[in-house]
Amino acid sequence: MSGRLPDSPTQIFDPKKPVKIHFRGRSITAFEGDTVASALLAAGVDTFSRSFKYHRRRAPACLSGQCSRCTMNVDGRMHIKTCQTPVREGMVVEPQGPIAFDPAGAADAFSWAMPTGFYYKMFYKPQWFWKLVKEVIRAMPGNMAKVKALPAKAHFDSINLSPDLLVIGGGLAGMEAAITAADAGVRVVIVEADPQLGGFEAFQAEAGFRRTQASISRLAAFPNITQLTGTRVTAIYPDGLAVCMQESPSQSAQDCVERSYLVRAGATVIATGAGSMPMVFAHNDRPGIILPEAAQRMVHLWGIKPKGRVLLAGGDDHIGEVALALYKQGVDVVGVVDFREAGLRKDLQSALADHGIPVWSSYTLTDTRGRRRVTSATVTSIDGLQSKRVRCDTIVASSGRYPRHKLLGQIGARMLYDAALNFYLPEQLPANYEAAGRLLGLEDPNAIMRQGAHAAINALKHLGVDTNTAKVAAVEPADEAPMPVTLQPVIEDVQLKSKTFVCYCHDVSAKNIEQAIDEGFDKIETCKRYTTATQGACQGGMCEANFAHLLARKRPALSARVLPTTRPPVTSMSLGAMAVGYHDHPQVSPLYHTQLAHGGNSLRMGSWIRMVDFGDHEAESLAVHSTAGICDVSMFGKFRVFGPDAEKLLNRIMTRNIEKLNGNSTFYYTACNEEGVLVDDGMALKMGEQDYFVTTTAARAAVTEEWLARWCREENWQVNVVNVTDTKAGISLAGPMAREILSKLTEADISGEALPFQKWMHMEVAGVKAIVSRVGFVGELNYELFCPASQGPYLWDAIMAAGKPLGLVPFGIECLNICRLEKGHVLPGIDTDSFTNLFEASMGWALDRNKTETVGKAMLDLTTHQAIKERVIAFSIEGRSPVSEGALVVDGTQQLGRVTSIIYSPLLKKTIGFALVAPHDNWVEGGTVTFWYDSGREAQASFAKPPFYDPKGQRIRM
Amino acid sequence: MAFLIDCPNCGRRNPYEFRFGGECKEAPGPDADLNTWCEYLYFNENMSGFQQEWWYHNMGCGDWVKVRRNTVTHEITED
Repeated sequence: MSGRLPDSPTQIFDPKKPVKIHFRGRSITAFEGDTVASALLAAGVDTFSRSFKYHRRRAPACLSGQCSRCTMNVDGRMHIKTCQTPVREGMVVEPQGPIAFDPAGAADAFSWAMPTGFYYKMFYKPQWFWKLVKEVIRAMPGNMAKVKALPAKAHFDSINLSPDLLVIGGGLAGMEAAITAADAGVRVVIVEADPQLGGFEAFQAEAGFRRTQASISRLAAFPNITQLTGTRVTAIYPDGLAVCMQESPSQSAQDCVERSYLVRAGATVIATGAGSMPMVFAHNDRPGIILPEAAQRMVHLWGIKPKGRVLLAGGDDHIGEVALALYKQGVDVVGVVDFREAGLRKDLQSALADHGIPVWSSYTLTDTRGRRRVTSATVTSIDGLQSKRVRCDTIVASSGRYPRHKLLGQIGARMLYDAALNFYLPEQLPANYEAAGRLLGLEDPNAIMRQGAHAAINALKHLGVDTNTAKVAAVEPADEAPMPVTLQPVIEDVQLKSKTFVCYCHDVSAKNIEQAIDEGFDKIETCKRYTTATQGACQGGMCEANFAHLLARKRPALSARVLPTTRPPVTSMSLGAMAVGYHDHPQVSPLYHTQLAHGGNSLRMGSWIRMVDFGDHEAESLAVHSTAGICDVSMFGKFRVFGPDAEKLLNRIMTRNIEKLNGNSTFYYTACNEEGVLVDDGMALKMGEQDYFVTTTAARAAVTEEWLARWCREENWQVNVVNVTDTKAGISLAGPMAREILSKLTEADISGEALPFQKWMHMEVAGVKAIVSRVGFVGELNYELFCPASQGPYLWDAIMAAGKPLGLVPFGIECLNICRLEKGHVLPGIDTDSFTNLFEASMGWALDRNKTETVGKAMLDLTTHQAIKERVIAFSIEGRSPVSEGALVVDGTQQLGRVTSIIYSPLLKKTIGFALVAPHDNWVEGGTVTFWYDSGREAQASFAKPPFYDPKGQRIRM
Repeated sequence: MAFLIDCPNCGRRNPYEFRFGGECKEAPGPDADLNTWCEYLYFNENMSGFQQEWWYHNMGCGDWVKVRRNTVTHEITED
């Protein structure tokens, strides 16, 4: 075994299964069960990162996912907490920025030049100075890296769970809660941040370990408990959704790098435990200064001996226990510093004395030295009179326990400071939530277990489970009081020097905070924003308590010792994990691939990918007028509306009267909203009694179901709406040769008498059952065919094969645009906006005045005689014009409107289009329109009356 | 969002499955004048407290659901 302690039952790595990872170009042998951080610590890596502002060397402090000092680039992914990431064969780990020699480390010497708020103060005036240096300054922060695309597309996934009970925290309390609830028969999910269950007790030497093993094996017996280890709850939303993130859920990087569990539970037990507060003293951030839990984890979980001589410091008996445990593992403990006057418990004192370990009671740490790593500490009596240097390579220091309360804050429970305990306790929790364990300040393992069981019993009551059972009655009462914490006494002038860090993520020192308080930012919320303390990557996990205590010291009058607001996420999570399930899914027509094969040029338009053209849209439009063209119209919304009240509903939303539709006529309709604003148009075909096939514009396809349901939501009408948009392909065949082409493919009589303009029929085309209607959109003889989507490509190919000899060409929407503008067809939503009513869209003819129930008719009736505020006008310009959509319509300096559609028609040799404009005297035949485009150019057009092509409509009736 | 909506077809569901459809308002009768219509179309109560409102279950059954919701606390009650 390489450099690790002898095997122990508490270890969670497997020394028989080596795993190789790469760090800064060298290969490091780790073992299965290691995290990246434990592997690097075992390999003797001292510096993991450089700090944000001063580029000071930093190394992990907590090894439990709280601090952000261990973050590195892992397999190309940035800001990964290496202490939470299991090793994987071949993993590439890189620090973010130079760590061995960092030129920006000079910033440490210039900290005097960077007071709190220096951004605002130094660069306020002159302004040119800021412009000069901002790029340099923005490139300065340490442990930052440029965002790079991942080398391979990383896979993230997401799983939904809906257990009866969610237990957050797999320590003694959490496990006991899960067991109690599972025993009552409910389904439980237990989430633990560490790779193994057990929580705090899992690394409390062998006694604690045995306790956790007993619980773990009891828990494993329940099939109705789902264990999620290595998973952190990053947020609980008020509707009960708990978001849990699992880093590297599988051993293969290709498989999944991060997984989210979206848990919606009937009740939740929060047992997130407590962490240690870092001690406040000068230079308390050097590599080698760690929290007790980090030392315990290193020794007990990964068999790593803390480097060299180890000094411990704290203000509770726990630090003495840790000292003894380290000593038993062969660690060179050079002393224990206890800032309490009473000092350690007597038995601990004598045990330490037996091993020759000096204990300094009423002493505290004031300063450290060391370059790459801490080399010595200054130990000072709390009266400040006596002081000595102690040589050490590792300092294990903590100023006491602090609840991991973030999730409580998110469910709306405030943390109240208990002055007697020096501990934060939650005020009343919302229903369905329970808290348990060390989070509530308990220390005795048996008390914690009892209390976990009671939390589960309360949760069961919320769930409506019968708790009047013998098992519940047998649970001993839990009425233990929380253990008090002794606050660290602070020797102002020696301990709060300039490099006494409170917030490690952003290098905010005690001095910075004092300065902010002196400047008036003395409330926790304002001080936090001004200093940026607690706002770093750890989100206050390390610094919050010290920050609150420091503020309270300086402003005792304000001293409620409130904590800053907590918001999701508790810990960082990757954007990829959040984006799971939210992929962009553009729609494609069933004819998409067929058209690509024919040389179509596609473009994303709204939710669809459509074909713009097949090379030359002008040639296509000429072909439509001279021979024939074929176009994909599958993106029209298509609906079957049927049921006894179908006609009533359609009559309500359509401005024309659908009762007048009979037999095989086609029915063009317009639809308005309640304001009379034109929202949609399309075609309706009567397929049978109270059975209609309705098309809508492509943009309305997604909302038509909602729209139809909206207009019968207060009635008990019997009507069904089936969205067949995706199940039917639509093909438009247009041009003088269209009939000849179609007649080659069908036996049906499609002569002008049998199937005239504005009629439709069922027929088989090339053996495909299709609805074929005669429409007039492109201004030529025009058939629209709707057939099953799966047969669309076949039908397209059959028509193309039949038509090719006759000059049939495929055309795209640009050509469609030319043709419809030649005919003067207004497109709702393109040529109109959300204020344009039916009259203003020049479609007043489509309003049936005799109908009573039409949506929007009341407003249209009432405003009929009002002056209109805008209208759609058509215009034309001789030859080609550089004017494009969006150009302004002006009269002198006054803006009258804008161009909504404009295109050159090769047939007319004119540029034609629509504009949406305010009323003006010029809108008469022969009037001129002035456009303002390209930020200052002007062009003239003449007002015109559409249609521009075939005004009598003879060609569409051929 | 901090509440669940009781859909008559789908049960209690997350409001992200729904689209908000505005306050419940009664449309003016056929003889109403322009002022009444404008009042109805362009003015809302903007209640601070309980109001009747419409939600459309677009990621569910596709029904419009009437909900009585407290706009301050998101509490939902039977009417």
